[in-house]
Amino acid sequence: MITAYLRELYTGVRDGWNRFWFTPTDPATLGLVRIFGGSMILYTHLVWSIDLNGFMGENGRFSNELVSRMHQGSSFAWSYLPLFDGNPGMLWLVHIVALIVLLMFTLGWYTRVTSVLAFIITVSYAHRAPGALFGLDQVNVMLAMYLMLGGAGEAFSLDRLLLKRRFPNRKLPTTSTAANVSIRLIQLHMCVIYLFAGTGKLLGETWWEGTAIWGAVANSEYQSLDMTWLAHYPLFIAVLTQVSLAWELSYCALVWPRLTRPLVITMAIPLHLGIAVCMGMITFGLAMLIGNLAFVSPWVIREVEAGIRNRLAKPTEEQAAAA
Amino acid sequence: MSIMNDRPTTPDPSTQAAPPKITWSVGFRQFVSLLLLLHLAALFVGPCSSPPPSSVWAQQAEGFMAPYLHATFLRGHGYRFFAPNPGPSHLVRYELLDENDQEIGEGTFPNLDEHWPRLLYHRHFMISESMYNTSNVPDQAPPEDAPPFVHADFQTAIGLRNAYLDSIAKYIARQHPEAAKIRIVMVQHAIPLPIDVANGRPLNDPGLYEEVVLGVYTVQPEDHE
Repeated sequence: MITAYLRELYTGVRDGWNRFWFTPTDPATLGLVRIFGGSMILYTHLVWSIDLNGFMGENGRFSNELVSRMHQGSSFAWSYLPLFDGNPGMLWLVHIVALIVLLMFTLGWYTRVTSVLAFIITVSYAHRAPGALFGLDQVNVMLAMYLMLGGAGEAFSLDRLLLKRRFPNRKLPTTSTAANVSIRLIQLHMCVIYLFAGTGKLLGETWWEGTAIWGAVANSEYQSLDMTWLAHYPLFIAVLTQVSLAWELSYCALVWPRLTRPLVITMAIPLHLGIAVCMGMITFGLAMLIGNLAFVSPWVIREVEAGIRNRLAKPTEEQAAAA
Repeated sequence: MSIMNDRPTTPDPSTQAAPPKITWSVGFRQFVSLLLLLHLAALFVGPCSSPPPSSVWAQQAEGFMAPYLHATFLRGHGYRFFAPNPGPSHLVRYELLDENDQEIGEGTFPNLDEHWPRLLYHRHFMISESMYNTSNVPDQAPPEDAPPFVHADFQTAIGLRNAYLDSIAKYIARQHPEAAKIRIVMVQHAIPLPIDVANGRPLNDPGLYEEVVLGVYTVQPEDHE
């Protein structure tokens, strides 16, 4: 009996593992994640441009000695920027090249190459300015890491468009195993993020008392929208605090079943937009929503795409009829 | 287990479209599976081992996987946003001093008036927060009979704090060649209770701010080179 159970367990886990990771999927979701994630990474690096030498230069805020200490002397915390940071002109040149590569990646042009370069760029900047980072950079690197595994340029990309123009009669593949692996990794990484974000909060008494949200919205260094009117509604603060905590804690379980997934993902929108609008962390809030996009099934994206195509096609048909 | 990326169909299995067939060979799948397992382990080890508290197994696993965690920018991320509690925020005020220690100017970061767009402001905010975290080292060294790793950790923390202060002070000195010395002050801005705010206390009430001088840096000739 035990042997039969173990055999069934083994085959069940093996088959489930294979289906989960290696079933080819429509790369539509990954293509959309590339466009939004690439745009966020590009914007992040555009903002570094405002004070490039102050953040990335040898004479900037982070001396090489400080950076080494912050990485505990590890040579694995790699970055190509120290090769150029002593010369402001060279640093700018390398930075402009990086911006061009990130733009190409976002558009899905030479995606196989630019996706790997985008990961190298994103990690290099993060490792060069370790004191100026926050959750946005963690999500940026996560997206860049998984988008370089393949399949990111197989939908909604210039690569695909050019291929269709060059070979109009060729039947291009509609599914990709690499895209599925990438999407699964983003999904699992999002679950890990929310799991630890939730369990970490269980160590704090304000999350149990139901006052933590007040601590976040009444922090004037974060605040971008005055929410201090909440002070008159302690019950509302408590509900907001504990609903958001319950959502984070349950995310990794409830996001998988087909019935609960839309609810979990829908709740992510007000939560992260709230962080974006009320606490001034627009980039972080949007980056987390981009991560959540990995849970939107490709057929939903294809239906939206078809709807947009139909809407765009209608006026053209009407114009043709009128002519 | 159903394939979740498929469009839901009617419950009648005969009408459901067959999921796409697995195309990768068994050997390649086994190889990729091994890499995936290692990566998934790293995903958990990163946040399990940092920040404190963390278990012995997590610390040892982190030591073993440190090269991979560093290389993939997974090390040191606890994902504990606003955890365990949303706390006070920290700003850095720097005073520019002349040879006679007279203040000739000052600045603060982060500063909403100077740092735009918001992401740039946040970069400066994170510097002041990380400076606070690294400067939060006990004044006194551990007792002599403390285990060697406690002494080593203390020395590492002191070294990091001093390197951070030096690096930031040198940068400010380069921006302000008129200064002979730079005094770095950590400003802690506490969060008032809701009941106090409901009774009219503003978030920027002066009583909510507390200042601690982190150090005074004497500008060196090479700082102006």
